[in-house]
Amino acid sequence: MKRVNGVNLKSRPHRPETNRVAITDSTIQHYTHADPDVRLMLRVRDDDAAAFEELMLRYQNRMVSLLSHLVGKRDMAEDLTQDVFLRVYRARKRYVPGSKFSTWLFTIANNVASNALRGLSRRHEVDLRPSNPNESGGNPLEAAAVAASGLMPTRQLDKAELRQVVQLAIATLNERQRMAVLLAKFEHLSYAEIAEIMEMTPQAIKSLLSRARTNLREVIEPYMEQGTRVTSLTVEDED
Amino acid sequence: MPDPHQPDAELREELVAYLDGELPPEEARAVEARLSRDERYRREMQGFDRAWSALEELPQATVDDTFTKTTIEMVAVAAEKDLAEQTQTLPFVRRKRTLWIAAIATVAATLGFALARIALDRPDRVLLANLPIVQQLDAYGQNLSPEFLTALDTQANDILEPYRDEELERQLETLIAINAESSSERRERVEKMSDGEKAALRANYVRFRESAPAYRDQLVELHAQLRDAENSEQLQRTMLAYWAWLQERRNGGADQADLRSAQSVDERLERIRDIDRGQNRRVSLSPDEADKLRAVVKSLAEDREFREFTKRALANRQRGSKPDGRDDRSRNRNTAGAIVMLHWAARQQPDDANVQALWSKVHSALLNALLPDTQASIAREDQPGHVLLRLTGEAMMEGYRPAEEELEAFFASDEIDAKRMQELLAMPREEMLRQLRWDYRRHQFGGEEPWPWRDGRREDRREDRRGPGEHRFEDRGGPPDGPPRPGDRRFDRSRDGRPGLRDGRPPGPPPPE
Repeated sequence: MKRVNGVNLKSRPHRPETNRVAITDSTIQHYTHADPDVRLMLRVRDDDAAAFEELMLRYQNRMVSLLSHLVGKRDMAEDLTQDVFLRVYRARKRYVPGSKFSTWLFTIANNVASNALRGLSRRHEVDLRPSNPNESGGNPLEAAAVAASGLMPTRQLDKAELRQVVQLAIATLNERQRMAVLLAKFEHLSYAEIAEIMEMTPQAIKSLLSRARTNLREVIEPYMEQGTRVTSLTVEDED
Repeated sequence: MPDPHQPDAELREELVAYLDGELPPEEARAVEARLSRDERYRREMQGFDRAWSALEELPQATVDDTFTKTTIEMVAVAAEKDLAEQTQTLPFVRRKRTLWIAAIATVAATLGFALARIALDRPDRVLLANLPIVQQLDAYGQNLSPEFLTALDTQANDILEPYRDEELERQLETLIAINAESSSERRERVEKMSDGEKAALRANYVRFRESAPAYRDQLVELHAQLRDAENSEQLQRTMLAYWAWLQERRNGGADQADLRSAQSVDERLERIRDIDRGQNRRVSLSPDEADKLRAVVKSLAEDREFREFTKRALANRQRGSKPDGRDDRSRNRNTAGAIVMLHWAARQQPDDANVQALWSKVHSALLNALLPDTQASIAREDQPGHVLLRLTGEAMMEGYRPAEEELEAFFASDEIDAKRMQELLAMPREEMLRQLRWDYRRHQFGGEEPWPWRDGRREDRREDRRGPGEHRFEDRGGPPDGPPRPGDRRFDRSRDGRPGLRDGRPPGPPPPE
């Protein structure tokens, strides 16, 4: 059962809540002391609008980036980011610092993104190929495929091409692998924290990330070594 | 190409965990040892590392200020929608779940919080132009005039004097400063306000903007008159003092409405004096005295002689009403009712030695629970017996002050009908809680008023259905405690008989158009 800080989110997708169960006073004190974002969130809980805005400013770019890479659409990522912050706001009165603020926040983001992707999948609109997070339309992937095509001679890839290759590699991951990779790479979260966010065990995250990085390497390494395109984008998908 | 299904999948997991710094020290040392001697293993690790580093080429998004503002606006709109939906569906969903009062307050706070942030980050021209009025909207909204304020200042100075304190001077100073400010200075002032101040200002602004144009014009004209008067500062000081005085009146909105509806300056001054005298004269209890009174009532319930009287009196009174309760609340209710009945009987039957002796005993017990000063105050009253009963009633009511959780459960129960719930939700929080406590107490007393005199206020009670002791207490200037209820005579008409409070609400500003 998917739970975010104690409340089932998958069955109640619009209600990110906080956990009042099994969070000891010492845990609360620890995170309140150690994490400035927790302190900001506690101010939000007390209706401090400036603190809410500060949290938004701290996380909105990171959130839009993460969700852009996750869902592959910049405009959709912005909508989802707003949804995440709305949920944060609605849950503020029940917020209890049982973990780092970012863990709590990305748990909500993971749930929001999962719901959105399921919705897209049902409508057959899912496009796992990520676009440039700073572009609201168009998809550079076709261009990436052409630019990095196997027809080109062996050479050193330039930055733009490498970026396109990496985007292509990310696109080959399944949703869970992608989320774990993005959280590990860009949010520098530990396996334990990612496990908490994704409701898995740290050991499962270890395996998930191993397979994800193997998949990434399969796509990226040929470009980096030879400037050639892989002949197949079929990757392991056991997750 | 590495394959996780092959036996060395575990080794790749190990390498990845090593690169991520997730291996325990011993295992990390083992990996490092193997890296130093195994070329294939080392290349494997380098491959993972290069691919991982390449992810840094992924573009990172940046959003502009508009995104932040839009998000906050969206939060505000959603919060507003939540409130509307909760209010609309409340009567229907409350059977299924407990609706917490705190949740309502939370939504309301959300609105105040978020909307203030949006609206007042960009204060508009109308707000800035009318900032003095909006900020002191309640004070301006008391149907004032320079003539009335001048008369108030000269003829009722003694009443207002206690309210001319430092806080009032601070407010006055702010008001005068705003009057002199340009639009840009007012904008700067608003922008510097705390979130709480912005929320309060916005609430006033919404009320101002949604009132009828004629009413707004009236306020603007009053403001101009006060600002331009020779004794401008004194008039504004009096206005603020008058509002401060009004805020402390026991009947709150009812008194304000009553005073606003006065036909002349003299009439209003007279009513002000009446209200002030009435409030000052009222005898009240300390918490300790209330405790002692409750103890006396409780002890009477165990008194054999009093119980005999209660039994007889209730037998006459019930006439098909609910059977007497079996718990303490019911017993105390009966005891309280019996005290009133005993008082009534003692007045009606001066020759009944038993009744007189019992009343004397009960009266002494109740009176002895009070401090000498309170006893002396009661003795000075026109009807000391009634005052003593009122105080006992108040003590009993206060004794049933429910815990918030209990109140919340009651609010979410079926005991409150949809209409009443809508009424409660429309009230300011404190007023809502006060009235809810009142409803709760009524409910706890088995749907009856804890004191029989309240029965007389019900429209559907005919005179011939009243038993002994069911006096129309309020007809004789009895205790006006308890909130207004639809059908309450004293709330259906103002004291001169003019309609105006018929729906239990004061005749405030004209309704929104």
